[in-house]
Amino acid sequence: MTSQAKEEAGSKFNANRIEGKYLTFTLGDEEYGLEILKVREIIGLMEITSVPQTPEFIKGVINLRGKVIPVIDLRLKFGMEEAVATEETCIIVVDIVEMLMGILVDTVSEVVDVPASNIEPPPAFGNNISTEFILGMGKLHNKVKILLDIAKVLSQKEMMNIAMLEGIETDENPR
Amino acid sequence: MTQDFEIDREILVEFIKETLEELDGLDPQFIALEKNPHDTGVLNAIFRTMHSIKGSSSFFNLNHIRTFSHKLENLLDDLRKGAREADLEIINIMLEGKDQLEKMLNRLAAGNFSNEMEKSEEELLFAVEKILSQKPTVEKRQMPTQVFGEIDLVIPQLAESGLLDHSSVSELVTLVERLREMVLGQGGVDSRAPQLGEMLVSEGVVSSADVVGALSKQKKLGDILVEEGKVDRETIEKVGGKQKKIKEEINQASREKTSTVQAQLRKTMRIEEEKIDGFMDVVGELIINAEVFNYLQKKLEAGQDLEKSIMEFKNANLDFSELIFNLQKELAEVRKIPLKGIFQKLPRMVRDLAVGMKKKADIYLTGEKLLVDKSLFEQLESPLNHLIRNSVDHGIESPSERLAMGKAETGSVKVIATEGAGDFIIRIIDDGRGMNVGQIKAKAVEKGLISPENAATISDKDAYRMVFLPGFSTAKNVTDISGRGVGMDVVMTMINENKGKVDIISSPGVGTEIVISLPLSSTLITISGLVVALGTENYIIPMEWVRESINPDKEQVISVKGEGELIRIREQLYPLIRLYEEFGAEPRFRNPWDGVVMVIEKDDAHCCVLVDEIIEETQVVLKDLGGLFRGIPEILGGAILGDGNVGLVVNVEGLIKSSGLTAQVD
Repeated sequence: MTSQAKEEAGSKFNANRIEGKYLTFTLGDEEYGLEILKVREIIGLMEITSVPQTPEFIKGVINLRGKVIPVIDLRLKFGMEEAVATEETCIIVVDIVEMLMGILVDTVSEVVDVPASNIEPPPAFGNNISTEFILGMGKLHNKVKILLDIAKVLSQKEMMNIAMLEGIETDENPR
Repeated sequence: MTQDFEIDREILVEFIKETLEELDGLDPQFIALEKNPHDTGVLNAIFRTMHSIKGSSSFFNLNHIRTFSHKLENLLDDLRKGAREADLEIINIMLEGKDQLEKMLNRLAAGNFSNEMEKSEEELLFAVEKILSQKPTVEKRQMPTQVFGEIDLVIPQLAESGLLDHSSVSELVTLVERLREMVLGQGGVDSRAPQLGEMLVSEGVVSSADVVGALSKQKKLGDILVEEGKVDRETIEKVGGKQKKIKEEINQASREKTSTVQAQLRKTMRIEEEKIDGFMDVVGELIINAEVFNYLQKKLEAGQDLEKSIMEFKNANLDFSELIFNLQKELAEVRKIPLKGIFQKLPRMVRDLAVGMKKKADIYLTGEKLLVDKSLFEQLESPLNHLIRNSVDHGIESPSERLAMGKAETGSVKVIATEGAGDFIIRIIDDGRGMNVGQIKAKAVEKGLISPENAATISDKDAYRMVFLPGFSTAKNVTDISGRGVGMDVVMTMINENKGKVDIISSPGVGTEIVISLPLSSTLITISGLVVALGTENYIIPMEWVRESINPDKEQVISVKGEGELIRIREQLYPLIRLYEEFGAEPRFRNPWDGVVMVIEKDDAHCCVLVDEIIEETQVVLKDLGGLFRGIPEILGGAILGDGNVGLVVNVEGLIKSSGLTAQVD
């Protein structure tokens, strides 16, 4: 890439900034990548305590060695069908800003190195996912992996908007 | 060398922290001084603080702080000696000086090790110098001369009435004359020769701005040398480039130094040595306890004396639980800090506000020794500031208005912090104009927060509470302090996050009282509760809410118009909450007579909660579920149960509220 071309692309999309190692996983037939630096650990499926008054995609909370952390069902978050848990179902624990969060996925595949030259900007059309959650599209072994901006998917704002509604209304709206 | 550097850095961090703390303590003292300018005790205390700042800063080669505190110290010394009067101008300058010192220290903490002053600091320094340059003779003589002038008027009267003939009176007069000589006769000259700029300003020839301007025009050394032909410009630029590089290197080094200083500043916390010793004791016992478990393990592996081993194991386990519980309790204690840290900043704030608005207001603080958890402490500060600002800004009337209403000229704001049963309560009481319900309702309707029909039926208590809604403000003028309706929103957020509640009591013309109560259970770590089953999930109900649990008969359940249910227990009627309905869960039992009903009785609360079964009584550690779940009123937090799974702790108060039973209080 010439420096000129880089600048052009840099205005909106910069492949260089997002190249690196990704943990790939699947949801149904789709393959996704997660920046490895955000991944804390991968754990098998365990008992999830559901929390009332929360949207369906918030599966509940788990005990991660004494810490209580929320678990999100990424399928439900992306508007897919809920899956039946299998041997391969995993929880990927990610570290976003100041909190740990678990995301429920079908299978974890591998860690891959995605060079900038193999990354394309996110498509203008989205299927079930709003494209702002996508860093880019990584092309590897004849497959395309959707590189997720997990912090955006799980941003407090995104979640809180939904979770907080109940609380504010009951507390502040005089009956 | 590097070793020295390490130590230096630690001491520096300590110095910054200590000095910031000391400065925090100065505000109330300055305010006390303003009220009583001759209080030598207070004066000496302030002087000592300033003196020690000067001393330490010169130790660290922080020349800007040293110069600055030195000047303030000089001024304080004059006050101490009585050479000057602590008037409004001086107090204002001192207060600002204190703020500027804080700024300089915070700059250091943020990693800027430059010894340069900022413009505002230089200006203030100049203002201090200006005051210092005004000879005490001018300033100070006025007052004694006036007094002596008045004495001069009295003496002839004494002579006329013939009183002067009395020996004691005439002696008094001679003594007064001697006093006059002592006070007025000495040529009190400032020991320090003033600088030219200061003199020109004090003589009124030029303004201080002129001097600053002229100083900034001073030529650089290089320019002068070039002009005089001593050296050519090229060499200057070459050397200048070198100089620049060195400066950059220095900056770089200081930046590197900084990050560590910053990190240290953020992390440390002061703990009494005694508390740490307490921990050591508990840890020592834990180690012994661990040995017991080791011994038991061996014994169990050998498979002998099983019954006895089980007993021993039980005992060891009991000891272990108790030790851990104690450790937790002590840790929670360590996290607590006194409210004083917040409280001591308030008098200054009230004073500045009142001065700025030409009002008169005093603040009275109760409970500064109360200890609160560090996280609560941090959350409390800004809401409390907002509420007090509001009291002074909107509550307290102008002195003339107050006098016209027959009130004392000076308004009062009381802040009272207390700890009740399981609650931390803070009350802010002012004796201002109170809140106008009509105005609030009208405003709420105008802003579209409620409908006009709602406004007519809403209770006063709820109406007052609307001021906490985002975007609400009844102030006619938006001042830079309050009135934008932003601050009160902060208050509500804090209260919601802590699952607390707020009540406002106000009567027009008399004042307003705001009562905030926050459950201590959200700051305390352990909760004793009942684990109850509901469908596939287990929940924990805090014990303090549960009076008893029963298996009601079918006859005890009374349905009311199919809308609500009551349970009759010993001639008392309790409204029934079906937990599965509230939580949207699939229960094992839908009929109250099949499941278990818990009788809730605490404060105003008075109801029954239906669950599938009660599993056990337990002690759990309450864990915050994080921001994601903070808005759910029915859940207090999570806890890890014996089987390793997470159980949710039910917030009974929130549950009652959201089930709509609030109106049922009889």
